Amino acid sequence: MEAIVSLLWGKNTEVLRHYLARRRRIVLAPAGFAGTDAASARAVQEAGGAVQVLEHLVPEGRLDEIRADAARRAHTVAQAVESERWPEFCGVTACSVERVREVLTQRLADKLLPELVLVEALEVARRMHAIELVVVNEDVTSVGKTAALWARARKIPVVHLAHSEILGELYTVHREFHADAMVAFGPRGTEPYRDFGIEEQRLPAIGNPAWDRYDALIAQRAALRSEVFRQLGLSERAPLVLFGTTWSARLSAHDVPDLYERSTRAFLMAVRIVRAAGIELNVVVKDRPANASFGRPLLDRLAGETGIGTDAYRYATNETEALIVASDVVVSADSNLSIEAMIANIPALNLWDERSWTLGPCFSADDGIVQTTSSDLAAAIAGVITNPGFRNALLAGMSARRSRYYVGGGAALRVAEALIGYARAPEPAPSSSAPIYPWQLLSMEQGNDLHEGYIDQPRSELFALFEHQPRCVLDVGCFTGATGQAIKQRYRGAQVLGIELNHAAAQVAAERIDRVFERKIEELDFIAEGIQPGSIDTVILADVLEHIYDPWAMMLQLRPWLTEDAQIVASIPNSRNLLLIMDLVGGRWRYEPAGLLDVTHIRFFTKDEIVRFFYETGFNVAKMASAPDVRLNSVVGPAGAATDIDLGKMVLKGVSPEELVELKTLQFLVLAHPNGRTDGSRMEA
Amino acid sequence: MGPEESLIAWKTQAWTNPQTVAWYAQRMNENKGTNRLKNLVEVELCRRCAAGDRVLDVGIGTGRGSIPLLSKGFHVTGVDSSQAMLDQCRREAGESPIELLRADIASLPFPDASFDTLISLNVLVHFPHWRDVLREWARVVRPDGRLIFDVHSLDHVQAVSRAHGVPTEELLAPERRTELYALRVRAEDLVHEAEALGLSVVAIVPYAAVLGGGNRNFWLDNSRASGYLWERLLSWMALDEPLFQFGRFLEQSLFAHLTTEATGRFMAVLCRTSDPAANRSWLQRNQQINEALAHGLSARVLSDVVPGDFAAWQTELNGHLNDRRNELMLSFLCTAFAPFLDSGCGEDILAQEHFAALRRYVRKWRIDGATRHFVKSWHRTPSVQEALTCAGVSLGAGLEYELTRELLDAVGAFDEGG
Ligand SMILES: C[S@@+](CC[C@H](N)C(=O)[O-])C[C@H]1O[C@@H](n2cnc3c(N)ncnc32)[C@H](O)[C@@H]1O
Repeated sequence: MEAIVSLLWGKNTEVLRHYLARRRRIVLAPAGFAGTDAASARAVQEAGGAVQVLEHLVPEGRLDEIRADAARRAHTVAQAVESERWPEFCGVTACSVERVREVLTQRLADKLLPELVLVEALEVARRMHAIELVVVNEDVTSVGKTAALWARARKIPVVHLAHSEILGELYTVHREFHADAMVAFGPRGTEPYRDFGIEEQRLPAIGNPAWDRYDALIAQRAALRSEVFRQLGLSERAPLVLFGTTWSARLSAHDVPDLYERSTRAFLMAVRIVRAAGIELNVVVKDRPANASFGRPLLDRLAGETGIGTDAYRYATNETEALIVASDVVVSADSNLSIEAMIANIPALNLWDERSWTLGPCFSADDGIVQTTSSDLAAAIAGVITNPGFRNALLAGMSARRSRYYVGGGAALRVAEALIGYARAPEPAPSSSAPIYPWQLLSMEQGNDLHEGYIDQPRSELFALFEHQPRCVLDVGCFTGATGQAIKQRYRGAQVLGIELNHAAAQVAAERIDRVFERKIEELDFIAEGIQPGSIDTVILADVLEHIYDPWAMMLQLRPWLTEDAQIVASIPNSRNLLLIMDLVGGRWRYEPAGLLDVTHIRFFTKDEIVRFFYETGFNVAKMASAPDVRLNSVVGPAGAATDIDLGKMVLKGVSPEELVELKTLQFLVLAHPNGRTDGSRMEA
Repeated sequence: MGPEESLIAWKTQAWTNPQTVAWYAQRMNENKGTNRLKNLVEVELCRRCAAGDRVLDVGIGTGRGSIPLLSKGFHVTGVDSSQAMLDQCRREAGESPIELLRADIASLPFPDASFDTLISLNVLVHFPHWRDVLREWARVVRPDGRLIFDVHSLDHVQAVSRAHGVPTEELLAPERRTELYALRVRAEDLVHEAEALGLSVVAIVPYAAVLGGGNRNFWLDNSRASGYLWERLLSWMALDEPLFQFGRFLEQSLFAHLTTEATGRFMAVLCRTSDPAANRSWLQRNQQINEALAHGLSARVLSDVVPGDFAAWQTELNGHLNDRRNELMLSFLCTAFAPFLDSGCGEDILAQEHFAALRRYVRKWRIDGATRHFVKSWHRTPSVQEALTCAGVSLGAGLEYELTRELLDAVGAFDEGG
């Protein structure tokens, strides 16, 4: 069975989901990575994949042997380094040979164990599965790097998805690159790597899936803000200043260990000054979850020391995106939070500290991010809050540079597609012309393969629209006939005819339903095929209207062959989808291999246009249901009242609850009947 | 057309498109990155060195070099091959009288000796046929008049090539593409050509040591003062006034007094008088300074080349360094000259705390480098490598991350402060 090895973190589960929706695969992941906890495991399953925890592949009994192996190796190393002197390193660092030896050998067996277990697990996995891809969130720490090196040694493609955007010079250990490619969040993220001579082609800037949430959060900023304020008990009257703590990675000699404390203190001092000037502030300190154990007490101590009082701020460790969107100014030190503020259109202040530029400035002067030192931070916070001109200038500056850092929402899908591109072809494919761009699908030979974008699944959600038992069904664009087959099972005696151009699909369908015509409907000679006028009582138009050049003519053509009470059930993509609008507002209209902007779509409908479409061709819409776009689940309005939706550059005013449902719709499911105007002529609207 | 002719034709027509002109004009005017510094250094040199009052600006472009001269009472004529540029220049000049006409740099529609000064900024750098052009320029300048123009320095690249052991051709490979073509001249060749045309050297002023962008300083290759990282630092000159002033100090008060080996670009100021002795002595002095600099910067060498009161100069330099960002900028530069710093270079120039800070910085930079190299190499000794390889995978590589932290801790890298 085909599989991928994934060392992705939980926040990248969406990438896995998209990958698996396109290719059913087994996901091999070490415990603790995406897919191995209950929630992400469910997501993987729903997408049609299955997870296998890598460590479980190593038999219980082997563990002791591996442990012994680690100890043996550690021992050999300890002996071997006895005779080494490392003059260069010891010379530059003025460190004694003994000390170096001690560092190299301390806990060595313990350090080797997880690497050895991983290699063993991967070797077992390789015998069981055809592994087409290894994907990691980092390839520098022991497990990530070992997985990457293993993939290299086995000639399996390996891709590294950045887990944060590196802004300064690459730390010592990051400069080697083991993956075939590293996916950066934006063009800016490739610069530190290019400074070390890594070729641009190996650094695709596709986006950060974890930032995909921003579009939806921003769209409901006002509601979100009240929610955040309510939860944290903040004052509605005062603006919210969000501070992100920082830390030292201790991977460069330039790091200073007390940075966390130093920068936090500087921030709290600034808060005190701003408040003393009579400006009310809500303050939230956002810490890394891993810091919670010491962060909280440390903050309380600092709050005491700086005299702002421990109840003068709130402490949070998660929901970063919501906090950013709800805030009025974001303060951090050389952090990705400034980029996130940029995305959310919130002014960002970068706290400059003595060590800030030691590995190069993280931001350029023209990024629109304000650089402040501890002594002018208070003035900068006050300025952003009280001076709209200043605030707007900052926002304008940031937005001019945003695309260097952020390439737009929907990254999970783009990244998944890129990964598919990197993955090893499952079989030595006869002609491996996997498309890179969606439009290449258009010129690819159609009709001979089962295009992976379409799914061999019955569209049973359409059945709920039926008003009478289907007896004679025409399924236009029946693909593999899965829907027709389900109808035949569910409604005894139903005859199902299908029309399908894709030869491979039509062949499958021919086994499942009564008849399949491999022909364009316009060219179908109903009489010659023995179809009686007024005989078809059910027509299925599942995702077809948008693919037809003249769907109006098709409806007119169908009319004579339908019964008077025929039921037409259709599913039609919604062009008034909020995400589509947001993209358009942001200047994006991206054709995709599937979805709302499937590159093969040539007609576009809104709810209103669907009603017109049927009416003008002699039908009335009797029912319309909405298939929600799950990506918009979190967008909610106040119960029973109209709301404004903020799309960044544009605000949708007074959106009623019904309209909100429409905006959140992915597809409309429609039931229509002939409207009795049997002359077949088009009504002039 | 031969390759040289087509290059000339390409460079000439590259500026005729109105959009290119608009882009260029905007670039000249906006305060972005080191633009303001470059402009200031170049325009000040023109103003300082112009003689008489009839000025010809060749390839005048938007007029940034000579429009400032109008208010100083100069009478300016500008020529350019691009009408769009001339139109733009007219707009930029506003009400001020300026004569503009279309002409090619190598064929000027003026009688001999019509001007007191010819300036040409950022023009000759684009063309290979500089000798022909220079002859034409010399023709239209009156005896004792001046020619002021910039070119890229070949001395610079050759010196770096020798010092770093990288062939010149390899260093220059990126400039070999037509669109990135940059004329590079050796000072000695320029002086000889000048002499043959009856010209003499007034000054040859190195600049563009810290301008970044297209003005690559080859000495800085592979140091922390290179790549995107360095460009990001330089970008702050647009907003950070002390940093801008420090950049200006470095350009005008330090590098301007060094030689054509020191920086990638220089401004030539020639006089339309034959003076072989002056030419010879300029070359000699240039050579002397080069030799002195080969041992690094010291108070002795510097006090010789820097005009005026050296103690005041030192005070000014140290004043700039009191700003931490300036100190860091200099630290970055120092990573390109680490061995000099080791041998005590700079100690007698800088205030003690600044010298110590630079040394500390470079030391940390070195520790990073040594650690990086060490964590990668120690496990590759054969005896260790075998124990640390499993199924063809290097386990030693997997240890590098944690070891880096542990080693930095062990060598006390974090104890010494920033
Ligand atoms: C880089 S711009 C410099 C403009 C201006 N001197 C400055 O420093 O801003 C080069 C200028 O040379 C002009 N130019 C290019 N080829 C030329 C030629 N063969 N004859 C005259 N002018 C030329 C271009 O039109 C353009 O205005």
